[in-house]
Amino acid sequence: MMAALGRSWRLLLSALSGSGEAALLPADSRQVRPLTIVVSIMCALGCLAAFGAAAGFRAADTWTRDLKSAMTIVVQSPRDDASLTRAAQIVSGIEGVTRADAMSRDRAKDLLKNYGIDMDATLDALPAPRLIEVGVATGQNGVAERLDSALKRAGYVSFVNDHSRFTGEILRTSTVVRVLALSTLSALIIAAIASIAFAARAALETRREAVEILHLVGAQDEFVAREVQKRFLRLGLGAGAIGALGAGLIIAAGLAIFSFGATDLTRGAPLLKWIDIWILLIAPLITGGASAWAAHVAARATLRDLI
Amino acid sequence: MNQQTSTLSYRQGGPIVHFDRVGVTYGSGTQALRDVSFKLDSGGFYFLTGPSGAGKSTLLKLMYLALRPTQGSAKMFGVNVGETNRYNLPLLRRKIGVVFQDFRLLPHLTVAQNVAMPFRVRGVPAIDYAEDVDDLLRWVGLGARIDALPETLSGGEQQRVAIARAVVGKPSLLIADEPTGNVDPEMGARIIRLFIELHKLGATVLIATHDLDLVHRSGAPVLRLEAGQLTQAPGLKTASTGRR
Repeated sequence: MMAALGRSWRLLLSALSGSGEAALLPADSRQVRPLTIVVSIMCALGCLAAFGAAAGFRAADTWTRDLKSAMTIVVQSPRDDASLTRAAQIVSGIEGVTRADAMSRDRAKDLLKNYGIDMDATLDALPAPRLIEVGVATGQNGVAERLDSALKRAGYVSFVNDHSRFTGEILRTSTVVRVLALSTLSALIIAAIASIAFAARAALETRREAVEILHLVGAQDEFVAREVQKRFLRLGLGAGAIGALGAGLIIAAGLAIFSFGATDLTRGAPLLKWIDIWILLIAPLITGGASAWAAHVAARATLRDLI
Repeated sequence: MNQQTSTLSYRQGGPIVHFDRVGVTYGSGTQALRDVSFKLDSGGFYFLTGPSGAGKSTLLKLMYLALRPTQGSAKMFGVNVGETNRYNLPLLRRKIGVVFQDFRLLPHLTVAQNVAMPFRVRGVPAIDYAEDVDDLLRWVGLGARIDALPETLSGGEQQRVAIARAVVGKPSLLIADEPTGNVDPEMGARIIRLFIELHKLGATVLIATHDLDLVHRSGAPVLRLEAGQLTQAPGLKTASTGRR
C-alpha cells in the first residue's frame, strides 16, 4: 500500500516537474486539444454532479432533521389565546420537548399568505384552528403519543402532526436525488476513463514505430506504459483544473443569481457551503489519477499486441 | 547443409546465437526462411550476405528479437526466443545493439537524446551517461551536431547516429544492416574500425552487407542466404567445421 502510494507520488511529481529530458513518446497536438476539451467538459459536469450530490445530501439531511425535530399541534378547542397558552405550557413540560410556542393568529395568517392568498377576512370569519409549534430533542421517541395523551387529559381536542407523512416523502425524494447525482457522477467518470483509454490506444498506434524502437533498445512494456501514463496524467491534471475552474465559475454565477433574487423562504439553509470547495480542489487530482490509470491499463493491453 | 548446423566461428567461444532448423512463415503464407541452422560463437565477427529478398531482413529480425520463429528453435544467449515471455525479451534485447538500414531514429529527439535512448529505457540517470554519449558522438564525427534533430542531418550523419545508439550500451551482440551503405569510404572505414574495436572488446558482430569487397577483405566468416535458405558462401567452410 505504502509502496503504491510512493509510486503514485513519484509519478505525480515526475509528471508535474518533468525529468528535464524530452518525452520519448511525445503528445500529438492534434489529439491533445480535443481530448483536453472533452475531459475538461466531463470534469466540469462531474464537479456539477458532485455539487448536486452534496446539495442533495445536505438538503435531505436538513429537511429530515428539521421535520423530525419539530411537531405541530393543531388545537381544535378551545381556541382563545389564554387556553392556547395553557396548552403550550402543558406541552413544554413533556419529556423530549425542547420548546413549545403558541402561534399567534397573525402568524398563522402569515403562513397562509406565503401561498399568495390574502385570507384576513376569511380567517377572521372561520373557526380556524390554533397552532402550537413544538421543538423535539434529537433521538426522542414517543413524543407525539405523550403530547396527545397529555392534552387529552387536560381536556383539549387536538391533533399532533409529527410530520411523518412528509418525512417518508422527503426520504424517498432525497434518495432519488442522491442516486441520480451519484449515477451521473459515475457515468461521467466512466465516460472520461473510456475516452482516455481510447486516446491512449490511439496514441500508441500513432507512435507505433517509436514504441517499436523503444522495445528494440530494451524498453519493458511497463516503461513504455509509464511514458504514456505520465503524458495522460499531465493531460488529466490540466483538463481537470480547467474543468474545475469552469464548474467553479458556473456555481459562483448560479449562487450569485440565486442569492440576488432570493426570498426569505428560498434563502433558507444554504445547500452549498464553502467547505464544498474541496470538490473543485480534488477534481483535477481525480481526473489526473483516472486518466493516468486508464492510460496505463490501455497501454499495457495495446503493447501486448506489439513486438 | 541447410539441415545441418554451421559453426561459423571466427573466434572460439560458446554460441551466442544458435538457430536450429528455424523457419518463418508470415501470416500471408509467405515462407521467408526455411530450415536455417547455424551458430554464432561469442566474440565472433560475421557477415551476412545474400541477394535482395533472400530473407536477410527476416533473419536479422529474428536475431534482434523483433520476430519469433514459426518453426524450429532460435536460441539467443542460450535462451529459446520462441518460449521467452514478454518480460524477459527486453532483457535479451539490451544485450543486442542494432544498426537499422533505415536508421529508425526518433525524429523529435536530438542526436544526443537518440543515442542516449538505450540508457533511458534502462532507467540510468542522465549524469551517468551524458559524457559517454558526448564522447561517442565526437568519435563518430557528430560532436558539433549533438543538439540537432535527425531531419536536419544528412543520410550519412543519421547512419552514424544510429551506429552510436547501437554501440553506446556496449552490447554483447552488434547487428548492423548495411552500416556503410550511406557513408563515404573514409567514414565507412571508420565505422568498420569501430566495429572491430567493439569486437576486440568481446562483442560479437554481425554485419549484413552487399559489399562483397569488404567481406572478402575482412576474411571473416559469411552467412549467405538465398531464397530463405542458408547456403554455403564463398570463403565459408561447410557444416560444423568452422573457420578462422
